[in-house]
Amino acid sequence: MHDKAKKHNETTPAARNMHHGRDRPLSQWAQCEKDPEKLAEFRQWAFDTLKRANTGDREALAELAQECSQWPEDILDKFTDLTKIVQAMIFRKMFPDQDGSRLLMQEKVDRLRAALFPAGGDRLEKLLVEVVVMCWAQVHRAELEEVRGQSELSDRPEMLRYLSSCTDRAYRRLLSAARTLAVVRKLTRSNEVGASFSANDPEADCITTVTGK
Amino acid sequence: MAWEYRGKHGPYYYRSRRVGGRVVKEYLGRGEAAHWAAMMDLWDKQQRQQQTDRHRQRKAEEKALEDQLDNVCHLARLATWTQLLLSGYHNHKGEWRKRRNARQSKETQ
Repeated sequence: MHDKAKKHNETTPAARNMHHGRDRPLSQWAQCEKDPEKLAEFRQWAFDTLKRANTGDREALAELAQECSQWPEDILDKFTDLTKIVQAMIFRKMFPDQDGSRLLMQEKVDRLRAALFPAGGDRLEKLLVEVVVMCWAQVHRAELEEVRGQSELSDRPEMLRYLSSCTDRAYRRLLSAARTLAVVRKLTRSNEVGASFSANDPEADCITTVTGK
Repeated sequence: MAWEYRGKHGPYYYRSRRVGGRVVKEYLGRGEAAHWAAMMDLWDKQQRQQQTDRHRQRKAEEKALEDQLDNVCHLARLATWTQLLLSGYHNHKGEWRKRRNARQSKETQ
């Protein structure tokens, strides 16, 4: 493990890019869900780079900034669209044959979205709001399935336990998403978070891009 | 549930069930009633199998949806971490803090 990490740190960013076959921007990576191997590779790279950047490794930060500069400006909007697609999937599964109920739920979700997303919020905040809304919808769905299961599956305790674990996971996901939104909102309000995903100068020292009070 | 031979005679229909960890066989004979019982048992078995398949499918669908949710949550977390790290923050045991040299560079500006 240690040797592996050392070897990883010794290679250049370009070599690492070659190693991971990352010659395409993230927008394309985000779409490669059908190729789980490549997605796993990208996740591993992202995890390693973020971890190194978090310890203050300037090389990793520069690598991250360079990666960001390659992403299209609307990448967060694309992620937001992806979130909305998953939301629609949840609604379809929640009310497969009841268009009326689905519309009511959609209305409720729109109200929640409007309450959570303030005017002037940035793209990241918008994405995080959509994630919270998606997790909230999944919590509702999981609870609904659990209640339905209690009447339909009383003779299948293992299925009931499974549905209960789904609800627990949905709650954990919602709490995590809400916490992330709160943190980002707090930090962006106290300090304008200056780095953007469309930074055109990857060589610039990204740490100095913070513009605060 | 099975039709079983006993020596030269048979087949006789036996219905098996588990009682207190042991298998207990119930003799139903070889008459018309035994044939009816065999048909009913087969029907029950098919129903149970169908139900199990339905539950398995439901679990698979649930897992697929949860995977999608996790993927999206992961992307959002990735974007958040990237933006915050590039903005001069770092995560210390779950808490986001401004990096010291970022503060210094801000003060010198």
